[in-house]
Amino acid sequence: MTRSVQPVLRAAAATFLVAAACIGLPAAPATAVGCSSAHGVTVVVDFGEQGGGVQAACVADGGGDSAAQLFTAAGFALTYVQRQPGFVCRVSGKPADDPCVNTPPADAYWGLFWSDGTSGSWSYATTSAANQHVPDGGYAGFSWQGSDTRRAPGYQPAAHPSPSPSHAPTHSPTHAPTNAPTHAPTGPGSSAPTGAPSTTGSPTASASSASPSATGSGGSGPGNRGAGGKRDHPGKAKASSTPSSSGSATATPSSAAAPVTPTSAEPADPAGGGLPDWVAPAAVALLFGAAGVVAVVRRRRGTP
Amino acid sequence: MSSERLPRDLHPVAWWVWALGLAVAASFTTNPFVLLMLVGVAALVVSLRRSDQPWGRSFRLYVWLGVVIVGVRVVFWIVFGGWSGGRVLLDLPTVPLPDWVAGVTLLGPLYAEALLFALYDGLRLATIVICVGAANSVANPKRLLRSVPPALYEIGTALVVAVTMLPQFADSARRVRAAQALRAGETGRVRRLRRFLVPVLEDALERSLALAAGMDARGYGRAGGASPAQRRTTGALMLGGLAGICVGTYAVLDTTAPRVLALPMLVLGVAVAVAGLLSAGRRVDRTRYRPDPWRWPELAVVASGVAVGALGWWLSAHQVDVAYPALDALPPVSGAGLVLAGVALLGPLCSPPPRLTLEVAT
Repeated sequence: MTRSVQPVLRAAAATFLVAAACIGLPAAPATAVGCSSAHGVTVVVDFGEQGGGVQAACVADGGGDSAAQLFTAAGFALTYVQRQPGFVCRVSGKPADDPCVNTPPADAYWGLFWSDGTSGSWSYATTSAANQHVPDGGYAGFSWQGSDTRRAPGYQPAAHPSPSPSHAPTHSPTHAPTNAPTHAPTGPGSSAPTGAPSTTGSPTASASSASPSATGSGGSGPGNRGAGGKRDHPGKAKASSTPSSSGSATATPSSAAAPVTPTSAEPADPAGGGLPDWVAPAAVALLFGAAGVVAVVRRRRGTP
Repeated sequence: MSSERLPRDLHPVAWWVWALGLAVAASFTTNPFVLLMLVGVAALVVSLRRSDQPWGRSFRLYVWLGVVIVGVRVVFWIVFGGWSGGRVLLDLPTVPLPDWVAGVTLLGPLYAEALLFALYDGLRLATIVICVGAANSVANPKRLLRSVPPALYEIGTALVVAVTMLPQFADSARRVRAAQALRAGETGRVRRLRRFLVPVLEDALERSLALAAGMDARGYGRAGGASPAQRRTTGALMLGGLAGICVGTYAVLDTTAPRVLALPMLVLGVAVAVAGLLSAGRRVDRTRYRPDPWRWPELAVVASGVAVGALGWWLSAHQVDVAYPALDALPPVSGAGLVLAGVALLGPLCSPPPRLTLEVAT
């Protein structure tokens, strides 16, 4: 069945892409696919003005973890503000122009959102990424806030009827048709102008778009949870939305760019230094020793 | 060469500019080695150049205050941590809190990185405090108050009087307490306080009235010969400058504000305020008795302070990983960091030795 459907869909996607390019729509890679069942935690990053579209991944055994752990496990490297640790400054190396020393301003920061998986809507997190724990079947999302108005991630969290994880593996074939439609129309609806080509893209890209982000986790995130997400997800995606691989052609180039940015951001660090390790402690010791000696000499001379 | 030089007090403003330059550099970095070098420079300069007056011994207090600051910072990070990720040093249990205190965590695992960050951050504030303490212990506070600009002459005079009168307040309190110990009266905690406060305040009021009468008789408090129009101009300039500085500072700190309001507004505000000060100072024509000289050592000390502040800013802008080192490795120190400490020490080494009251005998 898959064999026969694939070429047709691929052609359809290709025509859509061409059409989108001709119309002049920004061919934003709105490849947003998370967990296909009520099991696992969907991790969403909406890059907004930073470029990179909406990326999503599934952390299969991430229920109850903090958002910071989830994003790292899904391959989105988090960089914190140096003067305010715990405040996320960069996600996957974006924005690269912020030095990440002071807290970002109110119109250029990463907003953390989460959903418990039953409400079907995002809520703005009231704590930091390290303290925001997401239950199994829930959602964690970073959305770039480029203006004063708050913007939730362009990805609709599904309202799972029962968040009990035991249902997921057994019911996966029956869940699949119910989940897929909820993902599909809402994804483009929320990110209206860019998501136009993704009406075909979002249900189809599920298996493929997650894998590049998971490979990114294998490169940057050391956790074996990232590898787990990578392994689990295609299996589940196959069960839920099989006619999907056509979207892969559109999804891979965009999300393949994501793992490149953190690697390009990190080598910029080794700029200073250059002195051997013992120089600075020796200078400190010399200064304190001199101060002590002078104080002792002055006391010997009788001047208080 | 320094043996030929006569001991004298360096101009207090020069010491303050130098110390504030060090404090500015300290505020731009969390590198513990750079901060410790700055503390070491401050300690060395104080032990070389402090006088034997009472304020010369205050540096020790500031060092202890710095130690307390670091300790409080570390304890707060252990109790209200909220850090995640890194090497766990101590797995403390998390105290569960209700939902309405969301965002606050009590205890929880203690990470090595969190501890280091607390140490570095506390050390930064401690270094700033110690730099200010160094200025306090090498500069004569009364001479500093005397060298305020003429426009602030009245405020300077009031502060000098206040500083001088403070010991008299303690003396007055002691006299009242001794007098009341001889009499019967209320012994309750609150009533005793009222019995004690009223005579002390009355004493202070009488004393200040007497002082005011004495100063008035000697020509203090003479309102110069400024016309109402001049006074209005001065007031408008002062208020305009203050408003400009406030708006400019806000816009510099808030990056979402329009850039026109940031540095241009700040510069404009400072210029207007300086004009106001000059205008206000023109009507105060008083001479200074034995003004502090301003010679090349003062210039050297000021230059080293300004250079250290500028170097600290340059370090934070261009060598971010030196100014804000990573928490999982030994903090690197670049050549610029060493130069910073050297420049900080170089200026004060040019200063003349302090005047000591006891050294006359030796």
